[in-house]
Amino acid sequence: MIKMQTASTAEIDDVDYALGEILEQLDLEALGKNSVGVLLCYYEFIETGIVNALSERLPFDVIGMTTMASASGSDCGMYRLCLCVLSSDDVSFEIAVTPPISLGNYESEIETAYRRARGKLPGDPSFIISFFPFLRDVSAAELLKSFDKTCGSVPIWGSVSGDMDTSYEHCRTLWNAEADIATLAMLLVHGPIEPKFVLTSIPERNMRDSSAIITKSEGCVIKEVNGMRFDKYVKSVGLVLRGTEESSTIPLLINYGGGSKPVALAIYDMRDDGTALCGGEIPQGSVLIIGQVDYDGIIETTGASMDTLMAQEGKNGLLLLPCVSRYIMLAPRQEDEMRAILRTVDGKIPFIMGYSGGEICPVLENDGKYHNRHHNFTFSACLF
Amino acid sequence: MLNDGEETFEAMDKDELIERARNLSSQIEQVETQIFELTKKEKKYKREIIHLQKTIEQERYVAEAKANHEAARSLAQRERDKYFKLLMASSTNIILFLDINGRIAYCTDFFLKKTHFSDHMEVRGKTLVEVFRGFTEREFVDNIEAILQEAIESNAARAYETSIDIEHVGVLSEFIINFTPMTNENGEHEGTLLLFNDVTDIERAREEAERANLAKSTFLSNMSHEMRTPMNAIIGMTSIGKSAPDIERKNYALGKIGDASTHLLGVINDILDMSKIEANKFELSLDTFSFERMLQKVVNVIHFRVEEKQQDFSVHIDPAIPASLVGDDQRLAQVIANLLSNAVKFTPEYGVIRLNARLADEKDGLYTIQIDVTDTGIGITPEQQSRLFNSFQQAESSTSRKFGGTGLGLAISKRIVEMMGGRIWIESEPERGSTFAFTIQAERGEGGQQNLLKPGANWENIRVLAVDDSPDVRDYFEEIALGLGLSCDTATGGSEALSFIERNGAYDIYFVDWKMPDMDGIELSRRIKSNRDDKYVVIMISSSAWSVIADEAKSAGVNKFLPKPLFPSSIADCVNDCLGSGSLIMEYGEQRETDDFSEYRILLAEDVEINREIVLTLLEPTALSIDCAANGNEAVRMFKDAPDLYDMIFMDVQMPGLDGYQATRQIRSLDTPRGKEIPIVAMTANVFREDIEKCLAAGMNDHVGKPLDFDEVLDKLRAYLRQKQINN
Repeated sequence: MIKMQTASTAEIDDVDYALGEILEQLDLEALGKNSVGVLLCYYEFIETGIVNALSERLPFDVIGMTTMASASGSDCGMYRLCLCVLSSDDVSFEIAVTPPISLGNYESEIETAYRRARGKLPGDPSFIISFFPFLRDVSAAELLKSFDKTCGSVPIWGSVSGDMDTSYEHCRTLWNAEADIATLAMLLVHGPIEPKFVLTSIPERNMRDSSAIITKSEGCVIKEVNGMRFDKYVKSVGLVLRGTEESSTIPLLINYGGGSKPVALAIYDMRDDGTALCGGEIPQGSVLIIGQVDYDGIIETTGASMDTLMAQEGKNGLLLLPCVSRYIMLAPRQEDEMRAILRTVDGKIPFIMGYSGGEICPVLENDGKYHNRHHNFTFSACLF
Repeated sequence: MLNDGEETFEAMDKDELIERARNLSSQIEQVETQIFELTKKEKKYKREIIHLQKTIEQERYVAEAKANHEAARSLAQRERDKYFKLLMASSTNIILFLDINGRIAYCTDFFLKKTHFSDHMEVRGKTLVEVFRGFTEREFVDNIEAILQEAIESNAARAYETSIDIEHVGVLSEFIINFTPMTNENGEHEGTLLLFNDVTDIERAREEAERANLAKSTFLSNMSHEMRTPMNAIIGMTSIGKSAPDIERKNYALGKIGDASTHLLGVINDILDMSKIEANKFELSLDTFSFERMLQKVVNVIHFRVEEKQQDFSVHIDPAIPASLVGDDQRLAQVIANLLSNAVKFTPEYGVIRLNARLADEKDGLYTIQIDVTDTGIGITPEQQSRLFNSFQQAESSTSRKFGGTGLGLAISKRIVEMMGGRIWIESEPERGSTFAFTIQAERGEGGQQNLLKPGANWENIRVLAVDDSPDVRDYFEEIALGLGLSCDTATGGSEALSFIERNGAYDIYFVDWKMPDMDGIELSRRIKSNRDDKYVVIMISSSAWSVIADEAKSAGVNKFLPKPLFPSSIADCVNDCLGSGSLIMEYGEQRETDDFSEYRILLAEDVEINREIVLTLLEPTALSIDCAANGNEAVRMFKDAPDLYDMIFMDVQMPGLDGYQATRQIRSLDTPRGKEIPIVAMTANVFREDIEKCLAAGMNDHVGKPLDFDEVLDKLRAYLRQKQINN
């Protein structure tokens, strides 16, 4: 069993005050045999030294990431730091962090880090919590594919680190006092624990009536749809893609088959040749539906997910990492999703929530197995 | 703080300085704290400004995304509208969309076209009653209104079968109208869809199918009757024959059994032919044949029935028709026999039947021959004519009851004729007789136009007189004589003939019709023969049997008899015969010599005992020795034991254990030369081409069909036994 404690602060500048506020919310005497921390924070908390001070003060390792906004307890907002402490007598935790990774070394470094952490455990982990760096030369989908292969498809849940805006300049993954732009942090959880993963993205009414076939693709790049170059196809359905910012607000729902719901992916980059780099693998021949993200759809899907989560028996803690696009597309009421979550949770269960730069969550398919996938526009939750 | 010019540090004592320093330090601390607080506030305000800026930026994304999707939705909506319009304009169905109030919101252009409304405005907004009452029955209008309400109230689809004159042209069409209520995602009624399914064609097809089914049922019933009737005769007459005390009665019964068996075989053959046609297995077997000889065979078969009814039957063959053609003579004969049989059947006693064969066309070596069979029979109405060539139908069902017949003959004939590249038709009026005509196409066969008269004689010097009261016969004679290169005069009767003789001198050959008014043929023959030398030949021609007039004719000096209808070859034959050149054909009534196969022994492989008995009994007069094997195994064993004993094998195909094919293969593969040489003739009920080919592929030399035609069996015996003699 894993117990969870949470703490948060909005104090960015006064290190002592922030530290005191956090420690006040934690009962460090009630920790189990094994403990670990997961931290989500606005990037300035690193620069002001609060993350550093906190990690020095806490008697366990901490991993985490920067985020645009976060929530826990009874409050939420952009400029917050949220910490959750996972503690257990029968579940072990091992953290590993890669050195800075890039296109040339990510596979080997992920494997090395994993093996290092794995070597300290008596067996394979039950699941892994991981925070990916935002890299411009390697997509999160590629990192995930490599990690999945390395760990033998153990369920991986986590996120690509986020930023205050879509420039992604301040994205960091955190490991204790370290905050790096290009490291990958992983928390292996071993023991008798079966987390539940909940995913929702776009409601059906926000999906177009007609679907299309991806007739040409390569990796994460869509080249042709229904025999048409991708940009021409999008134009043919009446959508305009003026730039990356605009194209990234259009969710593409890809049906991978296997009986699971379609996965929502974002267009990361519209290229000059009319093709598009997306947030995940695009299998050639798969079905594509264009969706729409709007306020009502976000609130509806979050509400449905939260109802599902709160209906579960024996829950001890909840980690939430919805997509940062959802926060943006709620503007000017960006905090409404977080407030809806706070209302629903209402203190019944400890939780932390942060906005994700790219959701990593396993999907259960008809074969009864979890398949690790990268998502966008998605409300992602890990409940245990 | 020091006051300028008033106090200096030097003027203060130590305690004062310390106090002042403490105050300053405290003030600095306060300032620092204030600075810190202000800095914090500044940072906070900066962050709030950033947050605000980010919010504004994000709102812009949201607005742009929303506008983008709105544009896409508009496009999607426009596409939907476009395709909806196309659907309503192009659909070949009658579709009506009724709104929530039951009024027409949309309809297909096809509906407007059918109902002769000029545009949508004439029907939009109107109820079904308002639209339909102008051109349909009250009942229809009431019904559709009621059904519409029922569908809406129950929120379930309803179907209504009806006949309406939707085009108001006086023709009813069959429709199934589907009423389908349309509801939104909340289950609220939005309108109703009406779809008119035109099932007129389906109904028609169903009625056709029912009629065909009925016809087939009637046919089966008729066939059952047609088959049971002769079977009944066979069984009954067999019983009578068995119990009859005297030979005359037995012979009578056997005669009837023979007739009934022949009739039954005809019925079975018709049914089999029809089955082949239905199964697309009806094929023609092409070969070179003599057109006239084919006709003669047909005439020979039909002749006794013509004679029975004392009908006037004549045949005319266009000399332009090639003597030899390439085609299926058997099937062609079947068609002609069918038409002649019908003509005889439906023409009363003493009626007239004419068969006329003429060359209709010739192009690139393909000859179109038209054959007409004309009679003075009961005739056929146009309505009956339209059904005649359909399977399973006679002119009317009472016809089959009165005149008999399967009703398949014409359908089969039509198929044959069409396979020969021709067509068949009728010209008829009730009570005025009928002409059944057909054409076929065929190529000229090899062998060319045979010169019917034997060479070596000066035919042009031979003078012929033909005497017949029938102008057709006289004309035909002239035509034939011209074709043969003979000089021929014709006379209308005895008196004219005698005056010709008086005027022109004696003729070499006289053809004299038996039945003529005033002076008949017997009297004329007597007078010709009494006044002249015996070298002149008188040939009596008649449609009656020779046996009827033989005594009287012979006593009048008649030399030969030629039956009607006349054929060029039979006339030529007579002429050849008269002048000692030998005949090309057998004289009418002449019997063949009885075959003598006493020197030969054959092996008969036949599993059915009665079939063995029949073959043995009927071949007994030929003195042929016949050993029997009851199955293929026995046949192979018997042959192996004495391969040189047998001159020929008749091999039944369908036998238990080892069948005829396998037995033949085994015999052929024996290590003895005789195994490969011995003629093996299949006896098979299967006469499809592929079955015959199967026989030949197994190693058989030939085949005869079952039921056995003994002339055919004798032909095979002659061919293969005599061949052995020649080889030896």
